[in-house]
Amino acid sequence: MPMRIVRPVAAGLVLVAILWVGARGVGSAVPPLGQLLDPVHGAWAAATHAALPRTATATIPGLQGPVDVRYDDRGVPHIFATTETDAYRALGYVVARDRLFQLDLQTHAASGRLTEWIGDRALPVDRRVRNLGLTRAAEVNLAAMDTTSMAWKAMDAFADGVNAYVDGLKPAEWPVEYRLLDARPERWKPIDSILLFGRMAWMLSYIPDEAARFAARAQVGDSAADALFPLNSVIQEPIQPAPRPSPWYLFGPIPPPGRPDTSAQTVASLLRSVGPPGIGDGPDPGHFASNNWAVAPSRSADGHALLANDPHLDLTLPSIWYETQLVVPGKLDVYGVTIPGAPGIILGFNRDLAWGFTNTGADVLDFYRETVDNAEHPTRYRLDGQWKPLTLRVEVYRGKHGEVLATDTVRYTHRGPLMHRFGAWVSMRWTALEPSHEIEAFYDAAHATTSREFLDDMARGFFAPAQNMVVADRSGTIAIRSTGRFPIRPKGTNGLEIFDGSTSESDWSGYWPVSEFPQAFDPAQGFLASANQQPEDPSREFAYLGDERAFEPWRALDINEILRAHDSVTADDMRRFQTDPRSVRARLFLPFFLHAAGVSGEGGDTTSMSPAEASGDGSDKTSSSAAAASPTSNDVVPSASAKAAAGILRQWDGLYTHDNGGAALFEEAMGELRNLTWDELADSTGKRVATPTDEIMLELLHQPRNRWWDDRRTKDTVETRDRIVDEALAAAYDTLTSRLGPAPTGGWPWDRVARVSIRHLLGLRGFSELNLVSDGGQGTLDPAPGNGYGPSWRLVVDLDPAGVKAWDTYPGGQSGNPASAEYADRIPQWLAGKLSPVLFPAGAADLPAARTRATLSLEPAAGKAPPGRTSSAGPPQLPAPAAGNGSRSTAGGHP
Amino acid sequence: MSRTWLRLILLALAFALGTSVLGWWAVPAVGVVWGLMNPAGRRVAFHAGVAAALAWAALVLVPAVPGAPVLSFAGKLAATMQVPGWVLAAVEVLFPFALAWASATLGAAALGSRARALAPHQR
Repeated sequence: MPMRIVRPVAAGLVLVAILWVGARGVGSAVPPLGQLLDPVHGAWAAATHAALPRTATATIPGLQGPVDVRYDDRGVPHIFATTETDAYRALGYVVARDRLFQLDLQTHAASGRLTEWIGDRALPVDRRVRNLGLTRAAEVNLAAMDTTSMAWKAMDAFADGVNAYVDGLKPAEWPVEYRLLDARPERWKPIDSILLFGRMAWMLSYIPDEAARFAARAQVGDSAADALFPLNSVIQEPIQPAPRPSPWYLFGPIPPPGRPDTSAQTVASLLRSVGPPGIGDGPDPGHFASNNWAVAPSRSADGHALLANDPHLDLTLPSIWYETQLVVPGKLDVYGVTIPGAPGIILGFNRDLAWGFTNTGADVLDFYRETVDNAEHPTRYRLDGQWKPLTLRVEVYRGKHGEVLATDTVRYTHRGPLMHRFGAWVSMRWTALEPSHEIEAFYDAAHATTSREFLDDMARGFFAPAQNMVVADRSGTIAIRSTGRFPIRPKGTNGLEIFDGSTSESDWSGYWPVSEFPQAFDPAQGFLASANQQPEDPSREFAYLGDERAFEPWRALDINEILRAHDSVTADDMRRFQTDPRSVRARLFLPFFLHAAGVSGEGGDTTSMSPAEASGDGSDKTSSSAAAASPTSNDVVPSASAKAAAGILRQWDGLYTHDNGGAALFEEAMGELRNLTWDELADSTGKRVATPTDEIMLELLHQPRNRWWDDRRTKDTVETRDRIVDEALAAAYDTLTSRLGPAPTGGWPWDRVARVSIRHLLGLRGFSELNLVSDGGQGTLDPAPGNGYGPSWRLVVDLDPAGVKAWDTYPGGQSGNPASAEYADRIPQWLAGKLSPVLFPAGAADLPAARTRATLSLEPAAGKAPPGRTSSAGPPQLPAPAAGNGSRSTAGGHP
Repeated sequence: MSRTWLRLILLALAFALGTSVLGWWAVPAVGVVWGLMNPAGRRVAFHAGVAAALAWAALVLVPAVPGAPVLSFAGKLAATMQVPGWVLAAVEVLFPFALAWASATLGAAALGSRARALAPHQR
């Protein structure tokens, strides 16, 4: 064939292939390369638009007056408006300007529409969201809202602001993630803000961990299982101070493994199938954590109330938080962080008070086994002897091009969504699906001037996810209250079982009155702290708020111990406490490891008994000196590994600093100890069905001859505590040697096994910050290393009557653009445990020019013309707003 | 400066301008036009490819002059696409090169075959 034919044919084929790859990509692996690689309109535009213009002007429809936005040198927009709705319009605009993709992604995730971006790969995730009823609940909530309320107006105004930005965007200005996903930005709807709160509730209050206890019953019987998975935390340091010395321990004998309760297996399987994946397998049910505390003037160095907060959530880039200030002279002056999409400040302070949240971990979700009229396609369910119609809702899942990928019919009883599992129909009632008023609560609380007013505003509208809200004000009051909807269940029940759905007697009869919420105002001890521990002293007046696995005592022990030891606290002390590397948990466990190794090393103690000796429950009465009350004969020669491990742990100071040599070995030994101890909880396949918490392990360690120490693999020997602890230590040493090489002097540095990774929202490696070195770890006040979550924001506030001062940081940056210098600029500061003083100007004129990085002038759109977005020579000069309702404090010193 | 270089620079400017205004679809469009304009020229398609690659490279790099973080972002983008940085750089110039080469080849061939078809009558 002549060349003059071959050449054009080859060129034609090449052209078609490249055009195809350029326009459509290749499967899901390669996005459309044309729009991605386009140097002007593609991914590279992220670099071109990495910095905000020094000055800019834009219009927003509906704006009632000009709004002056000043970005400080940390990228924080300070919004100065003349009306509150204008402030929320501006908030929508600036959030979209910095975090548009995050806004859009959250909405798609919260409404179960990820398939529209990434196709049927997202179908399981979307199905889960829609089957839980979150989308329907948001629609019901929206329909029930009073359209004349400020909450509605704020939500609507926020949407105006986001949409003004979206409408004015050129494709080249779309965030880079849209290029990678071959998607385009969507306009914002008010319901998206409600969906966001639903997503938060899902993240923080969807913890149905009841399955663990039933799964354990199926292996070791009711008596042992109920002791291993108790209702109350066995270590008590409640957020509501108790009239007794704290902490205290509720240790008691743990019954030995008994006969399996076969009926429990069915319930466990059912509960597991309706719960989130992975729940119940580990010692930690998988919920997030947080710390907050307040110090009264009587215990602070300057005589002011102090407050600190660090919510522990998924660490992502961009961060879940966006920092900003809203100022409307004489009406509103609030500073803090918002979650992109929320029309208001979620955590922060105003001129009079500051607040912070931790998760309560309350059990606010129950399941009901329903009787239905048709096992396959039910339309009715039985209640009090009568058939009631099910509400049917068709959920349609669409793909990238609008095609229908799948359709589901989700059924609802009066309680909530109905699920079909293991041949049974189970409905769910969950406070997150009930009508609520979170946006209104945040709106009202931002205007509060006293701690009590703040907490009462929140109690009126904040229902889910329940939070331990700590607050401190300029008058010196400190207060805490677990706020949310806590169901009143049928008498004698506690929410750990599956209820009979055929009778309305199983239903909740209401919610706890606010007076019954765990709470305290100005306690005599002079401080208040919450760190996800059980909120109330159960011996005082027990009311079920959740079971032991929902709570964690270790950080509460840490911070309460620290606060008890300091009676002249400064703001800088508060900052140091947030990253204190001590671990009360390690301190409580370490003696048992050292004792076991020491005993073995000396060869003078018993680590095993004959089966005949190990009768009954084998438990010893609880004692803090149980380590000294060990059995008395021994024929075990300690291994070289155990000796070496003990040598390392003897030198360990119990700190989780990144270069510390003891923490890695200790955590490895804890893992081995769980594996060796809870072998009776394994099913026939060898998989452990549930793992008791470390608190229960500590309880068991005080019972050296308990039958639970027996290793089932050794048929003719019954092991005791020290034998198992010694084996765990040796196994940990061998494992680390195998994985990391011979132990350096002093042990393997903690940062060789525990790092911090802050991942991009899509998990994109290039846009993530991985394997960062940080102090802290499990059970310490900063648990980030080694976990997927950590302090997502750190705040310290000094409630100085002369003017509030604050310091903060978070692991990320204000910009959502990976090319921006403000995308991850705060991470080094966060890793170092430092904070920045916050600028808190009362008016635009109070923001120092030297610290003003950029300005944005927002103006009303003329007539009905579509909004635009242009750069201009400079912002219009607004008169400085009148002084706020407090002093013109602009910044704190360096704490 | 030789005439060839001048033509190459002008062609690169055309690719750059077209991309800025119309996006990446401008590359095959300009390539075809170039081929049609030079059906009998030497190395027409190759010159089109080189000019397009130069144009895109310049469009990526020029914003770095006033300070846009192009190079640091390139590393992140390459890591996100799970390729080494040099692969991203190569793809960034090979993509417009191939587009322009193929479209210019087709353009030249289209007019060249017409010219050949007309040639006997002209003779």
